[in-house]
This record gives sequence, C-alpha cells and structure tokens, in this order.
Amino acid sequence: MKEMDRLTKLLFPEGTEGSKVIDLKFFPGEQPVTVEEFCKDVHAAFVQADSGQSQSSEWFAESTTRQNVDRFFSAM
Amino acid sequence: MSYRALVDSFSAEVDLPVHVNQVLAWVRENTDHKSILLHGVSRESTSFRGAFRRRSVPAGGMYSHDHEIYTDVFYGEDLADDWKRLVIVKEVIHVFDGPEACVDTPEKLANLIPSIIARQLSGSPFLPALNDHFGPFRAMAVLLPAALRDRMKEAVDSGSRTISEVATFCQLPEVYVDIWINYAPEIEPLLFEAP
Repeated sequence: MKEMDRLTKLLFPEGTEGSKVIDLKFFPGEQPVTVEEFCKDVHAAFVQADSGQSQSSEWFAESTTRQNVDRFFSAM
Repeated sequence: MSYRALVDSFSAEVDLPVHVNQVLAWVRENTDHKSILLHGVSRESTSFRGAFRRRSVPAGGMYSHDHEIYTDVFYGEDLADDWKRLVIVKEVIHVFDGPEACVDTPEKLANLIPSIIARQLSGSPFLPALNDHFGPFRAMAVLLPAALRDRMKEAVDSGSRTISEVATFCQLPEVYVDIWINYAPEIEPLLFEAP
C-alpha cells in the first residue's frame, strides 16, 4: 500500500493550520488498474496541479458554437 | 441552491451544447463555491479521467472562524473535448454532495478508491462511492436536459438520427449519450435520491 500511503499523505497533510479537505472524488479511466497504480497516477496529477505545472484556468475553452436544436432536427 | 435547482435552470435550454462555462457560472453565482479552478493534467496512464477536491481554508485573522472554500477540478489534458466536458461537469457537481457522501478522511479515501476502480458496486454500500457512480449521469442531466433528450430519442427511434450524430451535436461521449437516451426513465429518479 505504498502508493495509497503516499497519496494519503499528500491529500491529508499534517500541520495545515486549520485547512482541511472537505471532499475528494474521482472519474475512473479507460483501463482497469490496481489500487496502487491508480494512486500513483492520481498522486502525480495532484502534484502537477499543486506545484503549478498543470494548465489551470477558471473557465473551460469550448471548441464548439451553440446552435438551436431545431437546426439539428430540420437537417433530417 | 441544490442540484435539482441546477438541473431545473437548464431544463428549458434550446441551444446545444450546454457549455461547461454556463454550469461553472451558475455554480459560482448560486452556491458558496466561488473559487473553482480547472486543472488540465498530463496522465501517466489512463487509470483516471478526472478528480475533484474541495478544501476549507481559514480566512481572516488568527481568531477568525471564517473559512473560504477552494474547489479544484482535474481532467486529463489528453482527453477528447467531449470527455473533458463530461468529466469537468461531473466533478464540479460534487459541490452539492452532502456530508455523508463526502470523502474527508484517509479511511474514507481508502474505502472509495477500490470501490470506484472496480466499475461496479459490490460489498457493503459506501455512500461516497455510490455517489461517484451516479456522477456522470448527474452531469448528463444538465448537459442534455430531459426535454431535449426526449426529442433526441424520438429522432433516434424513428431512424432519422443516430446516437453518434446526437453525441456529436451535444459534444458528449457516445457511450453516455446512448445510455442516457435509452435508459433515462430508470436512471433519472435515482439522481435526485442518491446521496
């Protein structure tokens, strides 16, 4: 359980002066994995984000333009 | 405001896709979750698509009891846009999770992870895992509102449109569009009852 322990220490650090985790959730991936593999990959993701190496933003860059659904149906 | 209020607010939508930013704006405007940051992360493998972390951080001076809530949403930067959209909305909707559905201790984390990577519910019920399994469908209820979903189903059933075409128009993963269009009557009531 080495990776689980490492992830736990990262997400629930000691001595955080009142800061605390309220909730954690995950979206599983495309391939079946072991708990250790999952923890290792998730740990790497949290480290990326917390060290400022992730692409962080307040909004999502959409690649589509919204259209009225009638256009979708009228093209039948 | 509740998850149901979020779903209701998009129920009269006539333009698609519902954009992720519309959902983010609604959550920021109608809940205590003002600080929401999206993190596109590189994945070492495809073991996970996304994650959610909500933290309470002391605000103000030493003797203040005020706290600010910081919400982080993680998604694989290599995911296709339709998956990114579903993952982000699924994760951000967890701001509505009640205390019993939250994972806030190492013990709960150790309980959650085996439950969600198994892709099926087994053993004694663990409410946070049950909640996580419902998450993508809670997002689908917002991203493809019921009225439009029903119109899409009519078109699919008549053969004039395919699930693939609907998924492309809605910018959502085909596998979830297929389930949502064909099994929503069974799934939908559970979304508002589950923790």
